Amino acid sequence: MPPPPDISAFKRFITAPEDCAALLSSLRSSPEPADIAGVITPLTVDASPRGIIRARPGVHEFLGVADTLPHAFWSPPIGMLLHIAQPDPHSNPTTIWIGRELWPYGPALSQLTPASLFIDAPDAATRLWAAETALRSNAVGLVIADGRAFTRPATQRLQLAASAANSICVLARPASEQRLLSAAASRWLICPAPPPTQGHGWSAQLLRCKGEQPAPHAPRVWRIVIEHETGAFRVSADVEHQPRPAALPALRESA
Amino acid sequence: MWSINLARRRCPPSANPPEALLLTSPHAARELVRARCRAAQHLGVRIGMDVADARALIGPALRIEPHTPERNAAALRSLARWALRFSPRVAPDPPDGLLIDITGTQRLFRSERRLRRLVERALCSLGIEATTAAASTIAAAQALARFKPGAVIKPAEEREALSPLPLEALRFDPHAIDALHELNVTTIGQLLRLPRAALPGRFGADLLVRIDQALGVRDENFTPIRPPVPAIAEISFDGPTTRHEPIHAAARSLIDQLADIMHRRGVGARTISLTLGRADSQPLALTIQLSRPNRNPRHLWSLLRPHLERADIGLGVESLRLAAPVLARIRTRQEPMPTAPRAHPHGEPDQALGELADTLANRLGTHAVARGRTVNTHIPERAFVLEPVLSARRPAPHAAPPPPGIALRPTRLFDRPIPVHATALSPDGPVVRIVWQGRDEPVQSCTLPERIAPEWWRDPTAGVRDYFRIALDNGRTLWLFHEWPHNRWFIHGEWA
Repeated sequence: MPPPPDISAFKRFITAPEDCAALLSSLRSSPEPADIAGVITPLTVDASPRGIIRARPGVHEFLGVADTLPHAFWSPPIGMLLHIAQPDPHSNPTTIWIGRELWPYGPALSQLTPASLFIDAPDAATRLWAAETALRSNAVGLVIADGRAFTRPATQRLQLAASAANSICVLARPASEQRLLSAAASRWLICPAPPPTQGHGWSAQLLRCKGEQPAPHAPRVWRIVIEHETGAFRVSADVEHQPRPAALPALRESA
Repeated sequence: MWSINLARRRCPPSANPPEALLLTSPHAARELVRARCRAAQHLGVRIGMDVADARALIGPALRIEPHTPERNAAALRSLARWALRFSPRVAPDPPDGLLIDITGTQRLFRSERRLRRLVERALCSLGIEATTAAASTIAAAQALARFKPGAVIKPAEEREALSPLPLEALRFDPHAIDALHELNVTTIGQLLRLPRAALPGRFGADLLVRIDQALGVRDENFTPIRPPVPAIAEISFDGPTTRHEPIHAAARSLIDQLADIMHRRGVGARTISLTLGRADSQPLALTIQLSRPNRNPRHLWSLLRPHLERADIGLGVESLRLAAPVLARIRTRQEPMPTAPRAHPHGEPDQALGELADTLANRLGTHAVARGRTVNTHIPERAFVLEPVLSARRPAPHAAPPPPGIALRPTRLFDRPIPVHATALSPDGPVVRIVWQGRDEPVQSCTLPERIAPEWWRDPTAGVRDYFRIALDNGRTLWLFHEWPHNRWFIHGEWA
């Protein structure tokens, strides 16, 4: 039987209505998770997928890549995950890769940080436990997990853990799970998008970003390309594919 | 030979025929030989010789490794701890020896000769080529072990046993040895026949001291290493108990005691073992491994508790014994001033990551939590290995070069190369079409081949591979290779 809720504050409010202002101010000052607080800030025009994710502690979902093709197995967007995982001097470089499908090939990394851990978790429940444990440990800068078959309560647990520890969790899921409910702070659709010249790349479409409202001309689709010469990632907003008003409301409903 | 032994253990020989091994270090813009194997010694290579000269003497079957005296000294100390099984008084004898005081312990091994054979055999089983000798003085034992291996002499036999040995055996000052060589004195026997009173004035006082020490006239002693004392905490109940609360409370108390012991020694545990003394059956040991040395009681309890809850306590537990058999030093850091902001408000990141790895590994299994390491090889499937975090070793100083990066290597390498049918314009030319997963896929673009030759010393039958990066019409970029001379095509990875 769950413990009874603490209604002492409510009782005080009823018995002493003159304390209403103080109670409201104390409630307003208490910390709340970002998705509950509903603080709306505009997405800037020069935002990028990595910048948006790195600036927002919480759960972010990458949907794609290859299961949209017929007769193809799911191939998670590892290149995009590597782009997000690139360490910067201001953040904890430790990255946890949960799920064997997501493990990147080491020589592809520009630098393999000794703190990176590779976790082999056999099923969704174990992956969820491992991701939540990693997020709550305060030792990790980024958790990247195989999010297949995660339910909304599972993503909510991760969102709460990430908000409490001020850390970031990126879930990779097949595009076929786009219609599943999720508590993720942002959802992205990743598709292969080779550049016209030599190289390989992806397009990242922002499907949803909780608590954010795009600026009038802010992009929602970006192209991420690996330059062959240097191996560096090049990110550019895709001006040809600007917000699709028809698609977004349907996706918002699913959240 | 100690340094050669260690170098062989670090990098086992792979070539056939076996290659000679030299350890070198730079000196005044020259690379000099600091140690050499027996084969190189027989070919005339001397210590201090230039590497170019040694190469001319030996030929192409030669392997050169850096000389690392600090690592060798540390390994010698470890070997001295290992040798404590033969005697409680053991000391390293740098640069390449061990001193074992067998006074009294030879009876446990029946005789001195048998003990000497046992030591030699045990070292051989570790892959260490060693020579041994037993004598009643330290200097005589040092000399005999190196210049008359296998000798076991009784007290008062030193003069006779040492006489045929060269002067270098007693480790005299090199200048004194040169001076004696000028007088055509080359053996210890010849030296002992010289008038004793004239020796200090001409060759230094140390010469007489070493002679007296070798003959047992003057005492010589050594400082033995101290055997590591295991960290142990124990508790006994008044009688067997099957209740979990007192068992858990006692276990927590033992963890606090153990943490206190480790804190005083400045070490942390890599392994802890809780032994339950059960009333009706054999003791039950619960062992936990840690990725890094740790002495945080809260963390140790969080790891031990699930094992204790699942343990079969039978008819009751009478005693608990908590031990940390494997300890390692914890680096201490300077605490910041109380008023200064803490750099890591949630604790040291290394320690926090180690605790996370322990938690994950103890629940998911040792092999489920791994750390990546790049290997210095061009073969893609061998260039990256994952090692369990509980047994991950430190990267070697001559670690692999930086990885090629995402431009040259795919983000995902398949466990096994997937065979495909491919059509190319020429045998080594661009690929125009592949048949994969039952579908005919036109190739939009194809790079020039990157040839990766096999490691013939590992697998002589392996073929040469030409790797191509191909982009399909559907947007996927694959890593395809053509294997020669078998004329087969495989997909090995993908830029996913």
